[in-house]
Amino acid sequence: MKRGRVVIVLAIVTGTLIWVATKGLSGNLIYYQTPTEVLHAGSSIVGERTRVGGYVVPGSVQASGAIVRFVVTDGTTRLSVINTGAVPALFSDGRGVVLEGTYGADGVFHSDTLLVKHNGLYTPPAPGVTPSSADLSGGG
Amino acid sequence: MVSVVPSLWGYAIAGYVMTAGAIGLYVVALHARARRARDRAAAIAGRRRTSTPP
Amino acid sequence: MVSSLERVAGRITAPRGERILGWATLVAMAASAVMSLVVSPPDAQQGNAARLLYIHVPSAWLAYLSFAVVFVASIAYLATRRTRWDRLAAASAEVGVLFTALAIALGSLWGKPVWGTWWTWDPRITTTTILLLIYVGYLAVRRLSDSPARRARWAAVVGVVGFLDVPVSYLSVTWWRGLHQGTTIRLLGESTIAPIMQVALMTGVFAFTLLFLYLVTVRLRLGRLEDRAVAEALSPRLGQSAEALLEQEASARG
Repeated sequence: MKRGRVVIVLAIVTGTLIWVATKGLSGNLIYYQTPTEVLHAGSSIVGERTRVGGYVVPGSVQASGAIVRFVVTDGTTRLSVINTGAVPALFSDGRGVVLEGTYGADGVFHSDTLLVKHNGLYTPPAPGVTPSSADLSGGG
Repeated sequence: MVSVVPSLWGYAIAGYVMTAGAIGLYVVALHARARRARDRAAAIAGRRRTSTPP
Repeated sequence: MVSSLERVAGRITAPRGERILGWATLVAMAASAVMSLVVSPPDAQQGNAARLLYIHVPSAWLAYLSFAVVFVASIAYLATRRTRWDRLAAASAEVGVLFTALAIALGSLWGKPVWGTWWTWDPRITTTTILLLIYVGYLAVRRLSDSPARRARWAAVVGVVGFLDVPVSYLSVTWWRGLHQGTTIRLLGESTIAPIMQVALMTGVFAFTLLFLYLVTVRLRLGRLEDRAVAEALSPRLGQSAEALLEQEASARG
């Protein structure tokens, strides 16, 4: 009776383990592709859902309504992006980003999910700058 | 581009409350389990001493 | 050396030691909270959300530490067949599961404002989730057999094999591309964190390490009490120690 329950729990845990492993470790552990790899693959990955990682080229960001256009680079190759998803607060010029979406036949990456890669840098704000969205009671 | 530092206190507070809650609950549960185990051991020992083995 | 280590461990796990350790932990946790929420400045990029660093990293550290203790205790059990090693592995695994879950939950909470998502299949997140599932499985395996010796043996095997995922999880950020940031504190080379924030982080790591010792101590006492209850019920002779009984059973089953 008690053992039966434990066996069920173990089966669920094992099943979840396999699901997580296949979900997370598929694609040979390549979480994202670089712009160079995307352009290299070219037409063979058009329409396929994938992730692209790169740095936002400074000055390339153009927002119009809910759509944001910008260019990402890995240092060698530039790739134009049209993002229709939500834009995190930390998104800005020069940031590392990971985009989820599809590479179009138009040579543009159409992303619906924009993730900002944190650089692992922790510093206090510049003197006199208080963290706040609008209010003065941001505290710190 | 002027960079604005976001406040985001809500996420920090939620994280600290969650952490304090999880640790607090676990400590309380551990002590409760230890108390129950001690009482059970004492009860079994007590029964054995009052009854004669077959 | 082993016997003197055991003497120190014995002193800590004595009732007075447990109490002192409990108070020391409480003081360290309070100091850590003050450092993290009051003394430390907010971050230039993330604002106050960066304060999650001071609990997320210590939680992940305890997860790895716990499973390292499970690994060592499991090997020691397989080598010596002494019940105390099995009890240590069980205690540490339970604490480890708590802090692995906490590290994942805090990471999710942190990911929302900074990355822009609660969840993504990044290698660090994936391997850490696998770690959680392995040790939840470990705790389930411990409930599978009614024989203490068989239970301890099965658990020790899982405790040794399961540990393989700890270095994989830790090094996943350097091995593979992902969204998770790399190591901020580096033993070699420059850290990428302001000194005051590093002090706050280290205070957190220290406080959580004390907390780990305290939780394992209490959990070990619970394990001993549970074993005593079983031994009292099985004991052929009154007054025979639980320890001796369980080890007799272990050696009988080989």
